[in-house]
Amino acid sequence: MNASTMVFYILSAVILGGALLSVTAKKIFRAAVFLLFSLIGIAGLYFYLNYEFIAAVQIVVYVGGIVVLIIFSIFLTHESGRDMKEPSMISNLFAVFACCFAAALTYLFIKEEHFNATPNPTLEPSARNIGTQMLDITRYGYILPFEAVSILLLAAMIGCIVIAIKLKPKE
Amino acid sequence: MNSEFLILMKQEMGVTLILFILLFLKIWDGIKENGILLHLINVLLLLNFLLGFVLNQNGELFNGMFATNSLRVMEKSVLNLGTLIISLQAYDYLKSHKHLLEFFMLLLSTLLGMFFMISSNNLLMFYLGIELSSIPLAAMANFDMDKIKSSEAAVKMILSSAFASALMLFGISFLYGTSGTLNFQELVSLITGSPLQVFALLLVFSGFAFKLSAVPFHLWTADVYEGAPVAVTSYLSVISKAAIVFVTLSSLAPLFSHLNEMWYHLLFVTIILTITLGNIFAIRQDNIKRFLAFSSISQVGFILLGISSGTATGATSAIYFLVVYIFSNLGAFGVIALLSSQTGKENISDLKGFYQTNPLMGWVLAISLFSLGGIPPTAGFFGKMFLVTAGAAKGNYVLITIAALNMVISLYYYLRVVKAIFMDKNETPVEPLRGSLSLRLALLICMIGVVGTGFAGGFFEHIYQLAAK
Amino acid sequence: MSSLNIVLIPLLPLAVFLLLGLFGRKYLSKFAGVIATFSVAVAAFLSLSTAYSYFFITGKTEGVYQKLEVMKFTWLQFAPNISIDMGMLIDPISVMMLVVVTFVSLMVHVFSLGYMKGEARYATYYAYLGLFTFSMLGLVLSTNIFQIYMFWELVGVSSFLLIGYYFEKPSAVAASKKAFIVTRFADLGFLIGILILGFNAETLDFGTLIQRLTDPTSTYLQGSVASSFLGISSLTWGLVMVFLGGAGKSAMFPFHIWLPDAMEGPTPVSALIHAATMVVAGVYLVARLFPVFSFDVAALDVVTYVGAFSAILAAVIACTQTDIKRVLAYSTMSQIGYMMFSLGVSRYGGEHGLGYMASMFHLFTHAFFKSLLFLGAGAVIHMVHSNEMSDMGGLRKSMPITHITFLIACLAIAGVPPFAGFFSKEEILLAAFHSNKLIYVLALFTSGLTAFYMFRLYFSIFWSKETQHTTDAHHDEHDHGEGTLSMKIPLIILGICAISSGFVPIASWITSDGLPLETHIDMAFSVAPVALGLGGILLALFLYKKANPRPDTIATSMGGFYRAAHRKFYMDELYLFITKKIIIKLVGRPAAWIDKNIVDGFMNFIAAVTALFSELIKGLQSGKLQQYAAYYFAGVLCFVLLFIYLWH
Repeated sequence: MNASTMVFYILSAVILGGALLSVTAKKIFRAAVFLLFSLIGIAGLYFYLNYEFIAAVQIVVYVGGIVVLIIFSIFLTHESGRDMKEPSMISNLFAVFACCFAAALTYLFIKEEHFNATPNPTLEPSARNIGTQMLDITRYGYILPFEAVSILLLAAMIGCIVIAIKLKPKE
Repeated sequence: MNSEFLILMKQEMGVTLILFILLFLKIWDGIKENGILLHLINVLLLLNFLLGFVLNQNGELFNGMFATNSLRVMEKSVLNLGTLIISLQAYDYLKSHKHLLEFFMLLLSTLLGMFFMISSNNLLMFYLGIELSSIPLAAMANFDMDKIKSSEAAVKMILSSAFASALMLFGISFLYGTSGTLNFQELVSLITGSPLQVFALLLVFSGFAFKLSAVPFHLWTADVYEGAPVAVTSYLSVISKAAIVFVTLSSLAPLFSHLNEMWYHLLFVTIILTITLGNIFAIRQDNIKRFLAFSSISQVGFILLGISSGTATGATSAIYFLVVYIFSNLGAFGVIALLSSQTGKENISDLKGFYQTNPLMGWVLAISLFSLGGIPPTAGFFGKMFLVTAGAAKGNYVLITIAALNMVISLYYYLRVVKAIFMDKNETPVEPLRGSLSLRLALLICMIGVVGTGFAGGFFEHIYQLAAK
Repeated sequence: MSSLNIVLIPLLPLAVFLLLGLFGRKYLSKFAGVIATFSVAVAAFLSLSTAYSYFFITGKTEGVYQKLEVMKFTWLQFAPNISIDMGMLIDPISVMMLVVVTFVSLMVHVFSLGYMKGEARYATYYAYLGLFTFSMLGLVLSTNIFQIYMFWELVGVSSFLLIGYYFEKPSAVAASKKAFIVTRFADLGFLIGILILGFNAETLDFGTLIQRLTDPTSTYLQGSVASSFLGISSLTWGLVMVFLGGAGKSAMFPFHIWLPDAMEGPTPVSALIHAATMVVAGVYLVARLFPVFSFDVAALDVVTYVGAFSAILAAVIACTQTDIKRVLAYSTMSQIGYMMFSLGVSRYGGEHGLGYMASMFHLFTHAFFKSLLFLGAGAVIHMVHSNEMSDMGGLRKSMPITHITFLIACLAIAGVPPFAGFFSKEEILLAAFHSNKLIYVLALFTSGLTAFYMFRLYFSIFWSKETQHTTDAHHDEHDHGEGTLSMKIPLIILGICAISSGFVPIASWITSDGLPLETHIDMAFSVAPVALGLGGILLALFLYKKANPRPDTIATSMGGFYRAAHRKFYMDELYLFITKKIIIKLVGRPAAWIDKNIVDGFMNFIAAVTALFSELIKGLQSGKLQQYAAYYFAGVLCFVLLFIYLWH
């Protein structure tokens, strides 16, 4: 086992351990914090694969944005300090069962799969390349999805505002 | 590419343009009267619908991210028409709503999402389309601001669709991982049927089935339909479904082309479950919206039956049925919308003696239900007939028998409502409803559709010509 | 015979339906009846002129009656080789049906002018009648099996509306629902049958289908005989399924349960739908496809035995009923059974086609005397305001015309010469005698029973109790008399038809192969059925014609007659024992019980099972989101297991 593989397993352990703790934590706030570790582990995995840009995005968006948002909303509920309800015995049993099942399936899938390298040319994943590619209309240009996402965000924002806004009752 | 770009994407451009017009209207805030705004929007939607009939051209843009042909243009026109009818029907509901413009902005962005989905030749665009067409809908489900059920519907919808999307995305990433491409055409040849790929395909399929409300992925449907405002429910049950069916035909089914047998058996199981469970649940409902939700689940089973044949006839039958279904379901929902907005009543028992006070509306509802139940000479009969015939081409008598039996069961509960309307006595029937001109126009369109589509034989052939290409 | 005339025949009632349906209630309620009657009269006239020109002038080519397609256009190209057409087919049976439908419909229209007068929804009633007549005519004229199915359903819908006309009555509503749902089950079979036949023959057009499935050398026929399901060839399956549809509309066992309940509709409607037109649709369907049926003995056997069993079952049950309309309903079922098995014992061409001709002949004569019976019953009910036999009696003096015409109809249905029923029934019995002795015996027995229960009805209505209802105080208060002139005229016309229609030379017009058929009534052969018929009548006479309200006084005052009266009493007891104790109790009651509990019960059972199942699985729809997600995931996993690991 060389150093590279060791790093991979350590990162995996962080991801899975974080995820497991996040699911089993008694307090919701702690669950969010464990989730943070899991997400940082994933960012580490991207670094490990030399996708620096995506790793940065992972940290900025998920770690910096989404988890903070989650923690923020937990504080708003006033429930952050309390213990959550103990799940029932049957739920636990099924959870364990589901995990084993998923592990077995994954093993079987991977065993039988011959992964092929992509026939399409690869691209140096630098920020510059990604930026040009994102706004390009030629082959492998992603301008259309980019615009579609912007409309999706616009719609999501409108939806949030409509739901959250409280109009003053008219007299 | 410039002018070609505008022509090929004309319908998407149209919708986006309206979206921005509405946005500016909102910011400008010059027109205070909701009624005027609604008429303006309806005119814009009509123009957008008419756009489908000019300058039709086949072609691809953005390297297969976007592709269009006459069939896809027609499918989009169908969705445009449905949206227009819903908008006309929603007149009474929205006239006094504070967030009228936001309603349409969200509505149009979902429509745009569906257009992208239909035109996508690429898994990424497809995924974005499906998200764009479902996330704003969750916000729309919450538009009855003061009703807790409406909020519940929204939460249930956003959470369960997030769950479904996540699994589907999981599947898509496996597909990408095993093939190295997102392009549908390239994917088709790279799918070999290894367990991992089959797993991925099943995940993608389950995402489709979720959006279609096929059993066992249907559980969100009834709760959401019941809680959401009628306009949103009708949009969900008609337009969203239609869009997904179109994509299933053009994109999902070809993905399984190397796994023909499995695709058929997958549909076989899903169809039987969907038709039967949908029906059995529909029987016990009293809330009309829930009732229509479950009956629409069962209808989806019939659509899948047509798709399962895998022939151009099957595809044509499915599209044809959807057009009929749009008219019939919107006919029913139109009356329900009026009933709900004027009296707040939404139960089948409230419809007792409906005919005494609202003869015209009673007929509209009854004809729509007849069409949904597949009673000739309404178009619904032809639609179902074609679906079953196309499905029968495979010679699977078990499937056909179950489908046919379920047709009879479904008749029972549709007739139950018709009976309530015409025959049950009621000391205090609903007071006469006064629908706006818009609503009446929408119902008229639906009735013409329900009766006319069946007899316009050329229409089926027209779709066949387009689908066979 | 111009094609415009023929096109107009179904369009006239349709126009009436649209006119009255849209404007009837508000603007035309006074004239609805007149308008409708007039247009149906025109249609009837056109039908008669069509029939005249078809049978006497244009129909024959080289001595064979041709099938003519008056008009036809492709309406929908469904698949490259299957198209759905709309058109009008003129051949001997469709021409005959045109006449029957329009004529009986006209009579019913006229009768209803008086009968339905003063009803609140008078115009709606005529609109429904128009719709019904239109759809029945469309059914009769259909050129292809799909077109016939559409009109078939339309007939179903309009009968649903007409049976449920008195929607204030819960029983009427239940009946209309039952009729609709039961026939839907049967129609389902029909639809499947259409699919099977359509796929095998790759056409839906009657002409092409018959040609392809009857030519022994054709690949279509060989293919459909070769492919089988559960050991039965797909041709047989297709035909049996189509027959199932016919059995539903024609109220054959076990789909007959809707017919007696359907008597909740207005009585003239019963005359039109449940006597003369709609219920014979099934017979018509089998006749329409008869060339194909005649190639498949197994399917014909099904037709025969279902028909014969229905005939005798209905006759036995009819003996136990007390509601006059129900008696008539069961008698209809029994007569339709006759027509069915007559088709079943028939074969194609020449002498072998006797059953086919006889069936059509009986259909023709039956239409007249059965609608007469129903209209007569309508007149009686109109006067007595009750359907129960026990509320009637002695009406012969106050309703002379009804009485005479009803008697004529009873004689006709009992098969007494020279009334119409005699001739057609004789042909049926002859056909049965030549091909299947068991069926012949059953038919003969049924024929005796028919005479018995019809005259039981007749005597209980017009004789038995003498004074109670008809005269004096009661009479003066609600004086309908016999009803208006418009109610009497149809009775008289139909009475004439019931006598004369037996002399119409159907045999030279309507045969399986289009060639005229020589028939002769063999006196020796007729002895048995006529004797049995007369026996039935006499039995009814003994049991139910308590001619005088004071028999005891007369009996005691006239000593000489006492013993005779006593002996008659003794005879009565014997007959009573035989009929009431044995036939009715041991056969009729159980039959009626099975009918009510087993057959109806089966339908209820299905409904109950569905409801139970839905109760069991309602936990699925709990409203809890986590559970929904769990089911979703479980669904995916099941698919994975099923399609990746188990299915291979």
